[in-house]
Amino acid sequence: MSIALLIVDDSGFSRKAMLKSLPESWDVEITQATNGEEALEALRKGLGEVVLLDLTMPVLDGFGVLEGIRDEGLQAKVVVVSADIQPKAKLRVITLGALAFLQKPFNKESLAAVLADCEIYRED
Amino acid sequence: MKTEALNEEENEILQEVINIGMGQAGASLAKLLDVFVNLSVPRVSWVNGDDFVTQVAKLVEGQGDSWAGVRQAFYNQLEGEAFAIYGANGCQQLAGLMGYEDENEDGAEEELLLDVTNILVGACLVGVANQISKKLDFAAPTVVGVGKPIHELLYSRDREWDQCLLIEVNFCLEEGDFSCHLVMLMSEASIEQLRSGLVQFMESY
Repeated sequence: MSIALLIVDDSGFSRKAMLKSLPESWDVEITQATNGEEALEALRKGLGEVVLLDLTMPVLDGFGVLEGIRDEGLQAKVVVVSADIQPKAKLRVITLGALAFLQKPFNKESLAAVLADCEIYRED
Repeated sequence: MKTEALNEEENEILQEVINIGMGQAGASLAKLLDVFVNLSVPRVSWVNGDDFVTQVAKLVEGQGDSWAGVRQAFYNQLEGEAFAIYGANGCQQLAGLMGYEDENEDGAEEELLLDVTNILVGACLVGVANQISKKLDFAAPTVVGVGKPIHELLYSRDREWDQCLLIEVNFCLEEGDFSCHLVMLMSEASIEQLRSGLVQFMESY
């Protein structure tokens, strides 16, 4: 059964790069969101079992999305994918419930490794 | 010959490359001051040389009328000027965070602004240049003014570019008033280098 995957990033380029870097054998139903508000709407509709979440975004940022997930009791496995590499930013997203932090720029290998570490998807 | 502006796709890639440079600069600032730095979405636009000052004035509109500015030129495969613009209260807060206790100490504030600018500009632009495999060197930063209106900080009679790329990123601290607008201008001559680097970066995905 395919997994509902939500990709959240204000950068169209970044979303495209993410799509190209997903493990090819991973059976996913993809939804894209360009800011945190759109992400929460998609999550409420059950479109994000797994979320790849950017932090720096207009309208509502990634920290806000994590707070929304927590406050509304939404179920989602979240991996934060961001260029904000402050140790305190990493600590903060993990405290807010994210499973892992993937640093930008990412590639196929670093994405596959983080998905495997979080036991979200492992390529055979 | 008139240089062609970046197209929408190139602009989008540039924005992401800058986002990554900004993240590295933010982390350097966070480490220096031992604080949490809030980042904002970088802005990129193509402006006429004459419009540059007006555009930057718009970016800081309503945030005060007295600023401190530091200019740092960069050159090699990418060339241009970077300005770090600090709000008046921010300078004092910065001094406090860095443990400068005597406000009247001669030149201490300027020295601090130079150091912080060097770190922010260096981390951000080196971050950009590394991703697109371009070489970059820096001139030493200079304080262009303290407690001045914005246009006085940015004025240059030597800037002769018809058009340039204007990049703005913004750092503010979670606590207190400190904020820094980092404004970068890239010359027309750099655009083709930039373009080739961006295409290469895109193809790495």
